[in-house]
Amino acid sequence: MKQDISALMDGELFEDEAENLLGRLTSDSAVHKNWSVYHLIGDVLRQPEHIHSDLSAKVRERLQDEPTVLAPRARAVKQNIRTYALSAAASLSAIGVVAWMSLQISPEVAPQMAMQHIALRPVSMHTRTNSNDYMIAHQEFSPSMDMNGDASYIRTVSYSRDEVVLQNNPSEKQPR
Amino acid sequence: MTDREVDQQLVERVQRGDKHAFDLLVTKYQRKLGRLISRFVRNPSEAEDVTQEAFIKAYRALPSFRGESAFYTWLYRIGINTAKNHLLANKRRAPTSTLFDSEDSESFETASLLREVNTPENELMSKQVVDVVQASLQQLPEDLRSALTLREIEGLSYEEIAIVMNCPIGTVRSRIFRAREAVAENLRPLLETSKGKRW
Amino acid sequence: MRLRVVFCGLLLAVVANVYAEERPVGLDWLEIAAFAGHQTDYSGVFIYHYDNRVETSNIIHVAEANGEYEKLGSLDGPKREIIHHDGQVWVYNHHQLVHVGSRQGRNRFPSLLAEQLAALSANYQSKLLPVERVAGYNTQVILFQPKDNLRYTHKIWVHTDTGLLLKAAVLDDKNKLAELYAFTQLQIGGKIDRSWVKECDSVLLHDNELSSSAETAKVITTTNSGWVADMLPSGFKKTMEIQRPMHHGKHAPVTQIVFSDGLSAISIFIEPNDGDEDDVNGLSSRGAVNLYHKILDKNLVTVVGEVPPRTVMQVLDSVRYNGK
Repeated sequence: MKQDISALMDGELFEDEAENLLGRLTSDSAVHKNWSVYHLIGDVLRQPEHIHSDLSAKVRERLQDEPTVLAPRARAVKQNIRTYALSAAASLSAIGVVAWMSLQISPEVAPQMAMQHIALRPVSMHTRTNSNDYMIAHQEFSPSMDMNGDASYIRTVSYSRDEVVLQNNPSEKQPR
Repeated sequence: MTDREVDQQLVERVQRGDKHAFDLLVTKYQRKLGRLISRFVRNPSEAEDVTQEAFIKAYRALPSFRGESAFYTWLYRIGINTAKNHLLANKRRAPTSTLFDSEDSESFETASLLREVNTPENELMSKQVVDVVQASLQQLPEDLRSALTLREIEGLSYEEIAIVMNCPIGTVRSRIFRAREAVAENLRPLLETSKGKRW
Repeated sequence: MRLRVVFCGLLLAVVANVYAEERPVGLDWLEIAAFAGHQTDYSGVFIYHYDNRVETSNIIHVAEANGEYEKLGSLDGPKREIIHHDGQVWVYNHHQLVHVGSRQGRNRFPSLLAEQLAALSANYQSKLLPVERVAGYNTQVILFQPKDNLRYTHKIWVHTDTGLLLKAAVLDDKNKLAELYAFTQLQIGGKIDRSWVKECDSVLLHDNELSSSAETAKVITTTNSGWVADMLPSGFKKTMEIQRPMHHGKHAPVTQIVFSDGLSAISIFIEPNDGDEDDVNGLSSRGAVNLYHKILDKNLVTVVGEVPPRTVMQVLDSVRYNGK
């Protein structure tokens, strides 16, 4: 049970188990206490310089005076699409629109992919000092990419051959 | 169920009338929100009041939360707005450092002075909690400590931790749990004291 | 009355000192942007501008129960689309969705670490600038100015409601734009096309030659290579040290050591030089990223980072082997 609380708060509990546990969490105060102390531990580890007492009791007291909120089960009903489409010209003054997505996929790779179609640029000579490889490898771990989410590929959308080679030649394991 | 799904589930339960589900969200986000609000509201006990206020506002606004953004970013925005409104409303009141310049409005002074007197006690408790957690962490066997740190501080998923620590995911789950329990065991006596009960 | 006032004055002074160590609001926004990028569903068009080029793409990002899915497509030249999910990659080939393998490296970026954020405030001055509109949304603008001349300035525009990063720029030491990323059209939440999500799941299931992502990921191993760099700018901390395949598997695995100051990163790559490499001079640049390499003993050492060329060179010159 406690182990399930631990997994649930990390977002690592399976759907059905999670549903059950959520039910108990909201009704059983002992279970809630564990949720509470486990979160306190995480908070202390992350922000030891700012730890205050548990406000949930005070909030709960005040909520007793609040009318119970009820919202229609809106999940099935999609809300208004908030499309704020602005023309590119309007929002970006000086910049003209040019090309993107330097998807470099070398023709030697896999018959799966018809390279003639997809290769954008002439395939480079692939000397070892081809900067692109290093730039991709570097940007996988760059923190400023975190903000752009997985659009880390906005910088170098060179799809590396490495990945495909590994995939298609499982016997060709790299030496460790 | 991912973290976001858990939040969404809790929100839906609140939206169906389950106030207790809101407790869980408060417990989860209170200190993160508290730290944010303290950026704007310098006085610690005022900041706590504003944080509480933000949660109440969030509760009232929940019917309009549709899950388009993550719950925390929505809560975050409410936190910022609440803090700003608080500052605007108190604009005419001198900031705490000049409180003792004026000898008028004694009742107001008394009230806030009382809160000020409480603060060192809170400070002490806070420090004790932090000390116990950090000391417990150091006492943990290396694999438990690593697992917990990778999860709580580095934010890695169980799968990522399994790769880093080169062990099965089940082992990761177990190590994190055992680490939490070990620290919690040391914390619980402290939290059970009369002062600790508020934590 | 006076005594009480003085007493409380002292208390307040104590309390104030405890909170004297203030964390700039800019860091909170960074944290929220990192978080929001992973948790929010959105669909839009953005441009990426660097080195006098502008590239336009569309993106759909959805956070499903089993993780994030992201589809990126080019809007210039021939149509190309890439889908990412859980470390796997798909491409469209002749209108057919094909699974092409695993993305190396971490499958998911964790949210910004407390240490990274602490390093940030030590090395950058953050400043809140007035709210601006981007793609029709109000954004909080935050500037991160480096405290030394060994790194670049970063500027971000974060949507005040959802925390999504809508625009980001890197400025070089002459305050010139080195690269820019900006949404021109954006829809947040609401009805977003998810048909492609189901498509990739089914393609994955039918692919018999697929090795599990965990297995593929094992090809990258953490290591203690024994290589160090003495002249890293202050605040750069090592975040990982791995061995990984590169160069299309034609050469031995490469050691990669990554350092970060919270906003920028520097990677050092070390690999044996088999003598088949003549051209090892010169600086490469792309947007805000600079690269230098050289031969050291029998190794090819390459340094890459979103930092000025002088920093890359300084780091490269200080790389040495300190192991057994």
